[in-house]
Amino acid sequence: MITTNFVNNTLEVFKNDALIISQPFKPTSTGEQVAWINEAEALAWFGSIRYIYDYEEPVVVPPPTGNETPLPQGAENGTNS
Amino acid sequence: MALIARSKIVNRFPSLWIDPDTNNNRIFIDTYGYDYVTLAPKPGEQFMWQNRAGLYNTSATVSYDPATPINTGYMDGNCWANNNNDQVAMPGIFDLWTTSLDYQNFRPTHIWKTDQNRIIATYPRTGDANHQYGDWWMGFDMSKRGMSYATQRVEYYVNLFEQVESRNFNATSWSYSGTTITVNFTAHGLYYGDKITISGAVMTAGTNAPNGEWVITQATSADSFQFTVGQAPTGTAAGTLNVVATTRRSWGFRHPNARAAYASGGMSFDMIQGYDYTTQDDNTTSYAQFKNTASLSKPFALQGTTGGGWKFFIGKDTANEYAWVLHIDTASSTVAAANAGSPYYVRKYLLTRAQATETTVLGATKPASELQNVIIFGPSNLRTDSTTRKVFYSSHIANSVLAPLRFVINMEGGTAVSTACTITYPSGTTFATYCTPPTANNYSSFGYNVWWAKPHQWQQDGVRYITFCNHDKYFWANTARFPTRLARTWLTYTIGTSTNDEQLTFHSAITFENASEFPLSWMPYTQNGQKIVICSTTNTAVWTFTPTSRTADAWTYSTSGSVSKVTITESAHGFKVGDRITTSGATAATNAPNGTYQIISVPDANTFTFNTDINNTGVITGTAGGTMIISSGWQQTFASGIRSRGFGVDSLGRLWAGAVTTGFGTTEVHLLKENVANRVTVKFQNAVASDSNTFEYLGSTTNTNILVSAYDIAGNRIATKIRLAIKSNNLTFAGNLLEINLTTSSTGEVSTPVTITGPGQALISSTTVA
Repeated sequence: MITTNFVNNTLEVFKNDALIISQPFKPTSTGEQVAWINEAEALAWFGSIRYIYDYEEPVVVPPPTGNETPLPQGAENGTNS
Repeated sequence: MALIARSKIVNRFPSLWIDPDTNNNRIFIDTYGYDYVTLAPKPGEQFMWQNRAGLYNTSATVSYDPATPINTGYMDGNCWANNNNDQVAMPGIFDLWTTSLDYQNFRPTHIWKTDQNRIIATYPRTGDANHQYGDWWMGFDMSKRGMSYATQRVEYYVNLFEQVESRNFNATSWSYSGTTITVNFTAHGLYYGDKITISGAVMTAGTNAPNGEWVITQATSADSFQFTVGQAPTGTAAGTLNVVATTRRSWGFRHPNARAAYASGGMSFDMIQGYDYTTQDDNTTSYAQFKNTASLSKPFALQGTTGGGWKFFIGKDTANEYAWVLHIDTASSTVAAANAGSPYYVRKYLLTRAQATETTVLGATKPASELQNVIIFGPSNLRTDSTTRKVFYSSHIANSVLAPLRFVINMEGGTAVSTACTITYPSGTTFATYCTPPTANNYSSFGYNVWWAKPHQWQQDGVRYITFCNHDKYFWANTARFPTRLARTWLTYTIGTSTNDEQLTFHSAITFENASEFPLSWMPYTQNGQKIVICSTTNTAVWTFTPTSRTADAWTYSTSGSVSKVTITESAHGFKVGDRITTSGATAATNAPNGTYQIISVPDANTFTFNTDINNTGVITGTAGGTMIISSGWQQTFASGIRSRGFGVDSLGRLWAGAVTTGFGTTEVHLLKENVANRVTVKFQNAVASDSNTFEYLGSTTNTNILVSAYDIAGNRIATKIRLAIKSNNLTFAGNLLEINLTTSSTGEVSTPVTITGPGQALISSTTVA
């Protein structure tokens, strides 16, 4: 679950227990570090990239079955050499 | 060069792993141990990965190993792709060196030795449409049974550095239940197995305060952990409980499906912890972030920073507080339009407390009108001007010309600044004179493209240079992206002095004339950056940068049929046949010879020639005029004829290549030495005109010279030590010797005196001398 906090003009984003983003300024394409105008501006910025952080990694992985779909192969017969 | 091994192990491809425990002085070639320096076999020492039955890959299906993994832990690359969008070829899978812009200080590796003398090895095993899978091995000695192993995990890992962090904090609160003590502290950063020293705990109206040395038995969350004491406390938990501990984390990259919008992946700057305490083989239990109840067969992996795309490590600040990463957001169709193409983000990540908290320092930077959906514009390596000024460049193309950005990183001050470069070309020329952007073909909006641009910068004789390099790992089967000689051209520029390093001035170019020459991949060979390795479909070659720039005294041309032969007069030009040159300043009615060429002939020390025709700049017409400027830089100085798939340079500077030139399942590992001759020639000085191997004996003892040359497989002259031996009754070297050692030259013949005492035949043989 993602939550946000705006404190000391810094946007903090938490994912579960972890503080995953601490953004004290508005990122720019030149490197200039511009202070946030307000929390709304910071949240709008995060909203544009939030989908990146919404992803949940699977926590349980089945053991190999031997039936995994192989990557497409075809040149391992030496024809490229 | 030397073919070190040719073998067949369970139908697998070759592998080479160098034991990171230098005490063992060991290299594993096709899993068998050898002395790292001498390559003498070490009987009985074998790295079997999981177990004797599984070797290093237990998959019943075809896996990644056609890429022929070479892991020296020093500089490792990959020049193999099985299709246009093959995951194997991505940075951070087998192409390790590309993931670190500061590869001399942070060497990406799959196998490393930890601070506590464990060996961690991870192998990119296989993949499907949504994930890559890796195997893990943890142990003390690669030739013995490991502590544990894991197979077919959703992640594998490229190690960049290990962080050893000392922690000293007072718990926010603590409690006990029986012999289990629970400590609360926000972002404690510790993990299962970490040793802790507790002090300050007080039992009010009780006994057995848990002060002393203990081991963490469970990290219940990022903000809480537990340990077990021998005697249960009694009374009320009180006092200021202080925790002193040291924890260790390995930081690097992995390829989880870290962004849902990316159907096929993306890289994540990430961390593993707890690797010193693994015990169980192939335990399938996993835990949510930060939590555990017991050791596993693989270390805890933080699903750290996300964002998909391609990531490149920049470095750390001197306080070891932040790691800096360049993120190229490679997607186009699945993200906002602003992210299309190759926008650069510079981000820093908090290393302490195990949370990798992300701060975006520089956001979405790219030139206007950037070329999109053709090639990913990768970053150059990092140049360190000072602790507070480190510089790298992008390789963007915009408006059909090279338009790189300069990035100045101050990791101490927390800033990253992007500036567009200015580029100056010789009078009368432009980018288009020498180069053409690649052509769109099979571009994957998810970023899985096996071709990309990556500049290489270095300093030589006080001058900074940068070469903009392109390669295509699937070029052996698809030449569509680099279909013309102009598209197959690398450009080199000098970089402005001091902080004027956004100013680039064209220096020279090299064109890969034949498709078989074009790089499948490349890698710096020497630490000074002045030599690189280029792997092509037919070759693994060494290229050396030798900068020259001179003004021709005169140039003329003559046209015969569809070819113009250009003759350059230039005093002591120093060129030899086959050298690559770049020209500018020439004028003619049409097709003035300004471009990249290879020298066809060198009639004398002051004259050389090259040809122009429809294949390069065309047949010349009109009056030869202007002042021709001739420059040169990269030259191929050694060729091996080996078609590599994986390659690497070890800490001794040796170049290794894994190849499958003899067919499926038969493995080859080559050790390439650029000073080993493929061919040695000798001839008599003052030989008879019709035959340089014949000297006319006139009836009395005669002194003359033998002229000796050594060549590599591509015909490049090379300097190498050889031993010449004469079998003859009538020919000796100076001093009446029948054997001598000499060193050949990379620029011309070397002469050695001989004495002819009679008629007859002489056999001169040569051998390599170490």
